[in-house]
Amino acid sequence: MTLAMDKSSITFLNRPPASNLQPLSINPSPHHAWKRIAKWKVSYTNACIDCGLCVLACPYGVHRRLEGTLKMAQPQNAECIGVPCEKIHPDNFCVKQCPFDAITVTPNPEFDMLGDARYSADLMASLWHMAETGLPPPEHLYERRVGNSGGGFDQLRFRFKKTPHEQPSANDLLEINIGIDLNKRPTGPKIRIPVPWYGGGMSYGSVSLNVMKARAMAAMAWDTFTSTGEGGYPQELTPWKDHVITQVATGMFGVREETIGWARIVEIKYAQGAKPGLGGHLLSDKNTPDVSRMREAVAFTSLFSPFPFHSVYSVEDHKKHVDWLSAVGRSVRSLSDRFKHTAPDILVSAKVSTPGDVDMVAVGCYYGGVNIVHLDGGYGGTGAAPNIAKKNIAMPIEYAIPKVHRFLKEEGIRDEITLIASGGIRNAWDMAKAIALGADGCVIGTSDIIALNCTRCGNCDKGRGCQHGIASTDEVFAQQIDPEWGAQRIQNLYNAFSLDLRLICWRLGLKNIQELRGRYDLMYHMGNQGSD
Amino acid sequence: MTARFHRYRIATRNAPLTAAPIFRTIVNRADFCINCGICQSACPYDVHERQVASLELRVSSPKTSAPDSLSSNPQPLSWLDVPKMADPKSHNCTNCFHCVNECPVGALSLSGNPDFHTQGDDFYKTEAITAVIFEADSGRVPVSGAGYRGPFAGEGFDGIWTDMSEIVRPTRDGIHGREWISTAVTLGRRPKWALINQSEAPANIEIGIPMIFNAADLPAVPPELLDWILKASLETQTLTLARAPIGKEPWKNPSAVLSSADASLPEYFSSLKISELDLTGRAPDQWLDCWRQRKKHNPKALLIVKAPLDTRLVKTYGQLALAGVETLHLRGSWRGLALCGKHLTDALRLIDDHLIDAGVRDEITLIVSGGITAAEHVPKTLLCGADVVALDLAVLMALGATRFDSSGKTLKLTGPWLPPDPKIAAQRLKNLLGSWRDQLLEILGAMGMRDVQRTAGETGRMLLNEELDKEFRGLFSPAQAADDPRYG
Repeated sequence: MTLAMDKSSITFLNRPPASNLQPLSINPSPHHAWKRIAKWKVSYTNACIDCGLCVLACPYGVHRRLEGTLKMAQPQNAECIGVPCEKIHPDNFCVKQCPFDAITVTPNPEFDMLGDARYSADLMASLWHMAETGLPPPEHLYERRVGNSGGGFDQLRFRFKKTPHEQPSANDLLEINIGIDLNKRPTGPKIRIPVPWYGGGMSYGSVSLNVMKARAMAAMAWDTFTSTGEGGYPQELTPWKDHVITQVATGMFGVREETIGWARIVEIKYAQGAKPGLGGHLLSDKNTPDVSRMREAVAFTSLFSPFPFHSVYSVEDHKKHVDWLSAVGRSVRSLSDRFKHTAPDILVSAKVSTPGDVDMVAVGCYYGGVNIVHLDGGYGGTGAAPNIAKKNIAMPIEYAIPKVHRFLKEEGIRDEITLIASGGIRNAWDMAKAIALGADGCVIGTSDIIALNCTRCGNCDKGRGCQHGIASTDEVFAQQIDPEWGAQRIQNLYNAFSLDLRLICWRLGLKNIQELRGRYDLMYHMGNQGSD
Repeated sequence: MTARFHRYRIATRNAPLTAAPIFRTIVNRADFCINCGICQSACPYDVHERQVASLELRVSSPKTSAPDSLSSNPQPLSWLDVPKMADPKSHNCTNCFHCVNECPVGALSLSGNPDFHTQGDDFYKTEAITAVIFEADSGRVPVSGAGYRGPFAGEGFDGIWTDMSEIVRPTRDGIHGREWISTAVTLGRRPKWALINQSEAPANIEIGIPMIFNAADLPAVPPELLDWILKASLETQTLTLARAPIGKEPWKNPSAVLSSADASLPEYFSSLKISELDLTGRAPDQWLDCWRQRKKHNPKALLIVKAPLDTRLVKTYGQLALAGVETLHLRGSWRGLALCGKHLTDALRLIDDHLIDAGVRDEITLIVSGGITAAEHVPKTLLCGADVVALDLAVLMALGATRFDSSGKTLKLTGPWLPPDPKIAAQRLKNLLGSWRDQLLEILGAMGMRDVQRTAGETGRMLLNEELDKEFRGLFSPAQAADDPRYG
């Protein structure tokens, strides 16, 4: 086993028994306590005599006494698994256990206001649960595996070898290797991440510095990466520079030789899945003086990145681009004292969108010399994009991955390139499916942000930005996110993701997540039912 | 046709509806609210505000603290003076849950607005209508944060993605090079060869956008509806198909295209440069004769032939085109279906293919209408084979008609409709065109297209869910027992 694998185990071992993980141990100030919207509503009628039988009955700790009294406290609605409890725990269902029929459990109408077809209310609530506890939610509480979009990942299921009743031991899970190599070429530095994902680009400007710090800290804790996005590389992120990818996008905002040298990986953003064929959008109110200084632009003007790179109109141009970045990275790193002890070479990733000829694009990227081809599918996240572009341009990632994977295989270069998928990867189950479709790993963004309390209201672009303080550079709004608290939430989420991934691998009978790549036989499509 | 360079633009400006806005979320304030006002600072969209204190209340309120003798400033209002929180302004709510989360006593909750889903009908959902209303309000491109939130794919328009190009010819420059993309289209017969003698050139008309209005099928309420549409089309230099005969001399408006099913026509028809022959009610075998008869009447004019969209009639369309019809207007149902039951997009591709096989596609102009109610429908219809789209139901949506029944042959308004202020009605339609044109430019830019006329029938520039899904499913062997508990 490699060193990176050991690191992953350490990260994992630092936490288990994971149930002992203290949720939200950091700074529980009111601004930071996110009250999960409950799926079920538990209420007591006047008939309640505070007997406390429900406290004893409930396995989820919904019912509690007010501390120091015999009075019943407000029920912890968010923990309740609701009406299905009657079947799952027939002897512990509080409604039946109450001798005075004083408990009612009803669906919470507010829960229906959450979410959408892609991120269903259940999915979002399960992400919040994971960010809070570091563990996947109880099986019956939320449908955490799929959303309601009716296609793609939501139509795929695994053919597991083991039934849900068979439970793995902690050792079974630890034995599973979920790490991946980011450089599969014979040359260049070997970078291995212990989990098959890293964080996607969110620019300084679209999100606040606090959010970037939180993501970078979490990336360091898990020995993976996060990306700066296209808005430049704030100096404040340099403590985590070994875990931050420098993105070079068409706007070239804040790209300096130094920032390329800071990174172990540089990402060229050719296109973004949410707005393929369009440049980045930063609307005027979010372009605060700090942001504009970083971007070397005029404050409070709207910044639209051009599309495409005007220096890249062919594979040869692309190669020049890659060579330029590698050369800059190498020279900065070998000349500067700061990088004396690090490898001089950097990895280059190309982030491309998913047009019909995405397979050719991937091959072109490979011949240009990149180490990572990063496909960003049409349903990916964004801080601001025209609605018409989100839905209607370029194909979803589910269709693009097998197309590229199989084409690279036919070309005989599949094992020299790391194929990373993003754009609609919502959780560990989507990651496992993306890998089974042919990717090596994934990039996630929206789930990081949901861990920080995003409700996907879509106001990131409006006025000063997000009122939750995530996608906002406003000084007042941004204070709501404490970087340490945010990092803990994202780390918790990553822990839950890694547990889910290990569980999936275990149930499939795999020891290494890389064995899952391109295993179409391990999945089936719900739409194919009845056709046999 | 003119050599002078002219940049086409549509002047948009805010023209909001006076009718109450349609909104999704209702914010509820429980009676145990402690009026602390945290929600007010939590919400940047002014959902939560305090009641306005009346002057009397301020004057008569007792002072609860001793006057500050060191300062001549008036005393700040004490806690007792601060007015209570007003009822939440739910129409401003963006469903972000920030106030719900910040409320220290849990007094706020969100719930669905039952009125939200009573708009439209069983086919057109409220979300689709509110999108059009936003575009008509502001003339802007709807932009939002966070990724796409709808279903994976669907049928018809929803089963198509437009393609894009990763590194492209230097013909485009994203948002900065938009002005170099042409959206102009020419209606009329396109000769196969260059004409030496320009006087032989067939009649044709150039319009700045591939969108015209089809008022001929709209219900004639309110009576000013046609005037508004004509005003908007005149100011945007596009065309309006309108039923003839109509009063008040609208034919003097150069953007009006009178549509008639009759062979006997009012006298003013002979002076028109462009008109439409509606063949909808006639048997297909009479179409050609009917067109010849009408063409004889005024051979110099551009005559648009309107026929129902039906894949069973592909041969007839081919005959019309071969006989010399310049412009064919194919009309689908209000819900974007062809008469044969196929989706407009699928039917159109078949027809386009047939006309190409017959060798006449490049000579005629295809106008397509019916069910084009969103900005993305325009490029998708063009890619499927249309040259121009005609908007009808979208006009009503833009003017605030939200309750209708689109299931039948004629569109029925089923609920009360407060038409907009006549002063802004035409502006709203201009806004709609302006917004849709900008969105068309986004798509053209992403495709690397510089001329909208090149998108007509360019099926290679679209990705069909039908094909991709088939390929995708083919990767997986058929499901075994789906109720096997091991599968999940």
